[in-house]
Amino acid sequence: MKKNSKCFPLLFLILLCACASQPKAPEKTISADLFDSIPLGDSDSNARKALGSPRETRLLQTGSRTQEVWLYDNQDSDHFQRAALAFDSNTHRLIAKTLIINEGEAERDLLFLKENKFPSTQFETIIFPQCRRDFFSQYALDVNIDKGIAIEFRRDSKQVESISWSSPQDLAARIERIRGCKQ
Amino acid sequence: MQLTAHELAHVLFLNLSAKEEKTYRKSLGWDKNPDGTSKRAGKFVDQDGQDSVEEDFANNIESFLFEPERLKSVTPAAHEWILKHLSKDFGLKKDCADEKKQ
Repeated sequence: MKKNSKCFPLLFLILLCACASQPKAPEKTISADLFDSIPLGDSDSNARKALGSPRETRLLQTGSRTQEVWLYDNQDSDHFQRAALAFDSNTHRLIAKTLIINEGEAERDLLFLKENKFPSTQFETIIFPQCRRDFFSQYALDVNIDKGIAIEFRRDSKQVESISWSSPQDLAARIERIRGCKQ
Repeated sequence: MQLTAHELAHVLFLNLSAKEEKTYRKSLGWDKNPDGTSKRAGKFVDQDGQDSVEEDFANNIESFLFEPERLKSVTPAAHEWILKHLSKDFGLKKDCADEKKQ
């Protein structure tokens, strides 16, 4: 009995530490600065520490590679999607990331975004081809393949929908899929 | 008639505001992946809706107009979104009586 009473505080402390080390879902919407602080190549544990737990994870098969995709939402009343991270399922390293720009954010303006966030970066515009007989996309991409940056925007309003970072190879493959109507 | 409705639904999608489009994506569970693809789980009234959110939207509008009970059973979130964001009166007219009165 005496032995048990000594063990109990220790057990309680261990349980408390276990609970404390579990990152929770983000309490605030992920800011662009916070998102920038997680570079490609970072580990999934670092990303979890910085951003908290994702709303959902899913496996995505691309060719022979399996990615684990983490999805994050805005922490407001609408709960629209805010971000997506992709980790190599073998190495657990970040291989691609996307930040979805919210209404009212300065980055929503394409010109502002390019001049302020990527002032020395040259972009090439990729127009989505008409892949279906009855429909064409209202979106386009401004890309810099060497830097692996893709800005998705609405062609009519020049409003930015999302910014993505990936390897040059993955971005080139994405553009090839778009041009070949394979996505 | 059904084909025309589908094509007009594509035009309707092009004219959704950014926020309306986001509410549609959210309601149905369309999420963007970092590789640029978008996916959602659940059932589709037409399998080619899996190709893109735009096609899914057009299929759901078409189904709402011509087979609303089927849409309600297969993709209830789409049925609810259309009722909430378009109009409770959104639908096909039985005849042209309304125009004749004007």
